[in-house]
Amino acid sequence: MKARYIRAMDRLHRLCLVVSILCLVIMTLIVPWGVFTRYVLNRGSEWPEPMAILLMIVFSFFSAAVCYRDNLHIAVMALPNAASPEMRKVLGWLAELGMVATNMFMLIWGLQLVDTTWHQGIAEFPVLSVGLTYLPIPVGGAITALFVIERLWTGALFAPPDSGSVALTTE
Amino acid sequence: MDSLILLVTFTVFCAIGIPVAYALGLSAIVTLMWIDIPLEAAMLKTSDGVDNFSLLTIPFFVLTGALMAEGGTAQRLINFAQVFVGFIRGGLSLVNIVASTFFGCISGSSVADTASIGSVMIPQMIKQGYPRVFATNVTICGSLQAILLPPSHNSVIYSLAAGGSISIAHLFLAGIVPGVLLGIAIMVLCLIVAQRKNFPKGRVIPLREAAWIALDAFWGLLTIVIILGGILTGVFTAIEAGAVACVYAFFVTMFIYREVRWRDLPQLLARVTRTTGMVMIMIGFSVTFAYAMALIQLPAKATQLFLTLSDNKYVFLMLINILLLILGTFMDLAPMLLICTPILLPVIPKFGIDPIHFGMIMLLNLGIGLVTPPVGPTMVVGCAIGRVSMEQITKELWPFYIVMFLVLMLVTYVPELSLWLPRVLGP
Repeated sequence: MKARYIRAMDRLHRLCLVVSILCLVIMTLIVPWGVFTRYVLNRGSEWPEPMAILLMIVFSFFSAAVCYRDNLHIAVMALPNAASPEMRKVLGWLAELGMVATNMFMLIWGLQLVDTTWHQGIAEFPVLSVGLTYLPIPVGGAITALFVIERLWTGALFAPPDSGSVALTTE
Repeated sequence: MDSLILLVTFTVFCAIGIPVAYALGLSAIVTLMWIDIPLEAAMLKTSDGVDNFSLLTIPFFVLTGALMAEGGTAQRLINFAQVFVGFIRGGLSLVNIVASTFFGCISGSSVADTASIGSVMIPQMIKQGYPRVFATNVTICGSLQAILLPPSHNSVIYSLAAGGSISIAHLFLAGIVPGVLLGIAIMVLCLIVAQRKNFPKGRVIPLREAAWIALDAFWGLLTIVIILGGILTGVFTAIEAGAVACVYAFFVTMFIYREVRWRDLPQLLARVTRTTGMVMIMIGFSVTFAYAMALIQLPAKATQLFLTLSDNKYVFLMLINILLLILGTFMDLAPMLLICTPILLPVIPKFGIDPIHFGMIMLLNLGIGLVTPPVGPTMVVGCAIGRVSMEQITKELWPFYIVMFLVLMLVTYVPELSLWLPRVLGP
């Protein structure tokens, strides 16, 4: 059962990563397209900017879930590192419960926000609902919550980043 | 009481090991519940945080830097720097810093700079007889220029933390003089050390060879022209410059330098996605945190506190420097920028400080934290490449700390260093 859940989370993690990469690539292509149409075709396209923002929202919440599963989010580890193994386990559980709480807030109140704004259209893309722009919040929250359950189940609290997934840094 | 709840919950959540991004969100949610604000507003603010066109600048410049770093640009920029300073005594340490200046203008990241330049320069310096610790220290301190020089990711984060009220282009321009000044100051220190320890001189590169090296580095250097030239001439916005630089970096890496294989591209994109993902969610939740701070009037209380301590601009700036240096030692740059900016920015008009100048003070202060133990990420990467311990390099870092502190004092108390270029060249 546990192994099956971990396999499912592996697939979900991969899906989130692929979606995020696709968003990144498309954003990187459509913004220069806006510059190209403005200077070369002499008629600036209106859609690249709002489309890039929509993709950015999807990218942000999906890639955050990926970073959580890869243990990449910045955390202050002074206390957990100094604690005894038993205390470290307690702190790990508290930290993960904090993560569950945050992600549940994202899921529940994010869904309410989606529901409230579902019937409003986006000015630049009238066929798309404003609610759709908020949908990545509850979806991202739900996915991260599933990853938190996996971590609590496997007991891999405060694990170091997977060496194969180590990120660069903006600093 | 409201302020106490926000600050105490945030501190406790961070201390128990909740990722800083989520600790920001959770403490804001707890505070909003305490003051009875509908939590939909919290989610709306989080979404607003990432629903911002300027934010795109970060993934674009991270991707440009990653493509250039893996595409062989670092080695070519090092060769180019060698032409100018390699023949001086202690030349390799100077080459390290000049190459960092060039690469910083492409990557905008101190850690990326250390990883790219350091992995080439540190072994080369050791081979030429430089002490391992000195080589590592020069690399990590030289790479701090990237925090200030355009396209600094942290300038973008500062602009976003300020609510987008400060132009990214002006911040980019403001960072040039302080960044170069930092580089020159560290080079002077290296020259003094080189004379005292009799470090080797490099060879003078003949003109014909120098021309070939310059030609080889030309494509990498053109990225700087695209970014800065595009923004300064008003052809692009900073965001568009980032995107165009990405496409250009892809073209140079895959079709001219050809040092990245096509099958390695997905891995590179995955790394950039992870890097950016960490920052984006932090920015999203920091907007919710700033919203909670505004509702409980924390910035106004901070202003009152600082005015009680002193109404003298210079004393205030010294207090800020001490505070940020201490905070920067214990926490990473991006979260500190996102937390401190909304609190401190409303204070500075009372002391007549320009927000662009203040941004440079914050960046340099918190940037120094990147090369201090126990959590300085640039230091950690430098130690891994130089194969030295933090204890070893910290013992010999003090001359570098003194130099960086002197530069910090100049940047703090001579606002013109930061404000002159944006005024003269600002779009």
